[in-house]
Amino acid sequence: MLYSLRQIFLLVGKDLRIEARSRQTIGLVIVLGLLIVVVLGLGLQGQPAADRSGMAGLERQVNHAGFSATAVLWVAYLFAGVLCFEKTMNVERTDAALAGLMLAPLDRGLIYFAKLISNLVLILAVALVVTPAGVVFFNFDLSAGLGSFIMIVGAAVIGFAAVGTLFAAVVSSSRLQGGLLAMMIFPVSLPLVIVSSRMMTGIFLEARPLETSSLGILIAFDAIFVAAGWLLFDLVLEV
Amino acid sequence: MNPTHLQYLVGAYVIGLGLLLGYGIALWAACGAKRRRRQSRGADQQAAGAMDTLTGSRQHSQLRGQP
Amino acid sequence: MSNSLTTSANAPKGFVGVLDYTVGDQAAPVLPTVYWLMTFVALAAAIVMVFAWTPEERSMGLIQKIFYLHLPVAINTFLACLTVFIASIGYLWQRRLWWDDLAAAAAKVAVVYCSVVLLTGMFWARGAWGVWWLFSPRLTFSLVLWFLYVVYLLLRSGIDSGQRRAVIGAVYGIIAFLDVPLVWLSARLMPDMHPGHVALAPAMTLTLAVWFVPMTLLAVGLIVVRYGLNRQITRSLASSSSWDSAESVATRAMETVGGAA
Repeated sequence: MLYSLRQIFLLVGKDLRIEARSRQTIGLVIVLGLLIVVVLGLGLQGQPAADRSGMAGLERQVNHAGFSATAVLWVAYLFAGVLCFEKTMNVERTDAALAGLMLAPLDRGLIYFAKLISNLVLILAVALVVTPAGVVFFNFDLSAGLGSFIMIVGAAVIGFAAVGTLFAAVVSSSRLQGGLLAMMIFPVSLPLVIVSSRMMTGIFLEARPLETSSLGILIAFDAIFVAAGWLLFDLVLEV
Repeated sequence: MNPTHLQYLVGAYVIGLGLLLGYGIALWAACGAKRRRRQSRGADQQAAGAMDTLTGSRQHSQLRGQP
Repeated sequence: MSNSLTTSANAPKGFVGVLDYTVGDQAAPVLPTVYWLMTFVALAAAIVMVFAWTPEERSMGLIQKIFYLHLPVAINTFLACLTVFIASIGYLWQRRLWWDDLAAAAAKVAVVYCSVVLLTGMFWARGAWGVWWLFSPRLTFSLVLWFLYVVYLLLRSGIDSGQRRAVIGAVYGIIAFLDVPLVWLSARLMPDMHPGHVALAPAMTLTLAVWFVPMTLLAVGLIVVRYGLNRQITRSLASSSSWDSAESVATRAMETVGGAA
């Protein structure tokens, strides 16, 4: 058990060290996330230009949170996440690194966990930048339930990364990359989007306390797909 | 009875059943094509193809009129 | 003329598709004809029943009659998705390609049936509540299900290698089905416009039962036919690409040439 953990940490360390030295993924993904937030912010302005005079106009120009903030954050996480998963898998494409990894005497499920953890680290880094941006651009008041927000996003991101890591391995060996990964991840991840959006609407718009049954759905999703990913990863890995 | 309701009702059935039966017909056509292709490949054409595989040329199939 | 070519190369072996017409060269094979005749008769009877006999429901009116088509098709969609799941597991367990052919066939039928569920649901929503779409639990669930299996088909079409396609298809088939209960649970959080459990009069329950017959027969029939087609395609691809087929072709050629001479 401890030996497996050590192997996982070795792999994670390798990935993070590569990332720290080249910084190729993290920059791209954060900027993409920010851009998505900005684009959506511009798009969701809502009021006709004629009405923008005076204080009333200023008031209307300010984007009030509503629940559009959760949608915006999700879109940003989803697209940045897909890019991130693709790139962490593609790291293995150079110098036949994947062949080396597959030849190493370790359980391939451990490679899954290592990739999952690397992906989580990167996604959380993105969330740390993109969420404040969303809060700022949308005047999203998190004070009503910051702890709940963190728990919801945390649980959802784990599930998202679990699915994404498995599918990225599927896609990285096929000739069609591009939108294929997004196409695979989005439908499977929709429960995460639905549940987390409803929960956040409940907490921030309707001032309801955190619903444990909904959080339960997120945790169930995480458990099921981490387990499935771990078991099926070996089958999809191909040089 | 609301006339629009009837329109939607009939529309739903027509489109729903149409899609199902349409798929069935498309499948049947595909099977027919497969069957015709199989039946038209007679034994001598099989032999011609086999001879070509052996000799590495295309002369036997071409004599039989196969593309 | 030697018969070994017609019998060994052309004749489909095993279960290729008892419900389709590609089996054998007889003019009218019995089982498919009887089966499809039964299906169409049941369908005709069901249509007549719904429009001429079934009473109108009090609260929703005429539009409620879409239900008799909608529900059996929805149940069959789920059964087709379950078939994909079982076939995916079967393939990963036994690594025999017929499991994969079954999964592909079931997925195609699942997508067609799910499209019908969505379209009939949309007509119902339009008739009953005036909008073409509503993010209600059932419509949302059907929509996500549709995407899950459309992606399954698209994914398969993008992979050339038969064996790789089978493995990836199986992995995705399992993931997609594991997602289905989660989608259902999460969709239940959406605001619901559907009425709660409406008590059905006996005549309505009978109509519903009658509609299950053609819809299920059609689903099973379509899956079997598509499966037969897939099997033939897989077999012909296998025989044209495997190394030892050249040897067997040569052997048969020698027999034929020797026989003709």
